[in-house]
Amino acid sequence: MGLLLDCNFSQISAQTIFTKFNCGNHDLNEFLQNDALPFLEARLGNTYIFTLNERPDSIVCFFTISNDAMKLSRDDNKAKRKVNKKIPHTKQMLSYPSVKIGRLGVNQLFRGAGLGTELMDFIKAWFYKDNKAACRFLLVDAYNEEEVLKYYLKNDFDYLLTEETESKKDKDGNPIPLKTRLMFYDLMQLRE
Amino acid sequence: MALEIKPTPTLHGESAERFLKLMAKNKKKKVPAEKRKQMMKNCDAILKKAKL
Repeated sequence: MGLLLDCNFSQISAQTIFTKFNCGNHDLNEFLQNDALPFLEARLGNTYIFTLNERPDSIVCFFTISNDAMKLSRDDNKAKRKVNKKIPHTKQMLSYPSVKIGRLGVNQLFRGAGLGTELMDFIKAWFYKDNKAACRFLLVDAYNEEEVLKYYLKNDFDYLLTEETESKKDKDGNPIPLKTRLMFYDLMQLRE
Repeated sequence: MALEIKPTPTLHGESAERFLKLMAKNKKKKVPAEKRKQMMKNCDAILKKAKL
């Protein structure tokens, strides 16, 4: 039995108490406490939380999602030919509806019990089942940290770009260290 | 100010080809039936009592 089954799942609101949440990452804590509500109000990202049944002020984990698209360029003839060849019935389909997980964090107090994977399994299943607006891929801009990347790879995400392609250089031509890596999960893996 | 979320780039040329190869590889991947069943069951249970 997973912990999430014993939690309440809801969207954040002005009444949500964020102050006790700590996932050990300053950026994520700050986002939840200061930016999540303005993002929701501006329709830029919806944040969902799992809270303990008996303690609604205790956020176990959260994630923020928004609509996105995975686009392949049509200006490259070789790539275009390959796309048309490999995707039946979708000659013009060069944009795949997707959902981006903009933020995801697990409270430090609840770490180490497989909660991260439980949460990711829920997100995958939710978007596979609830296909009101079609969604093919889950996308994430993951922190370029070993533990974080390991988590997404373990949960069957792939890198969207090679490290070399994703890297940028400064004006002197020196590589700028990547803060994040773009990754994706193909929801087709959940087909029956 | 929290770290900006990187926009998803449009894939060109080799990156687009690499992506298509990964998609083809993923086509062969499938979540095992038992695990899938459990995921869907848990998802239903969570959404049933959710306050959305």
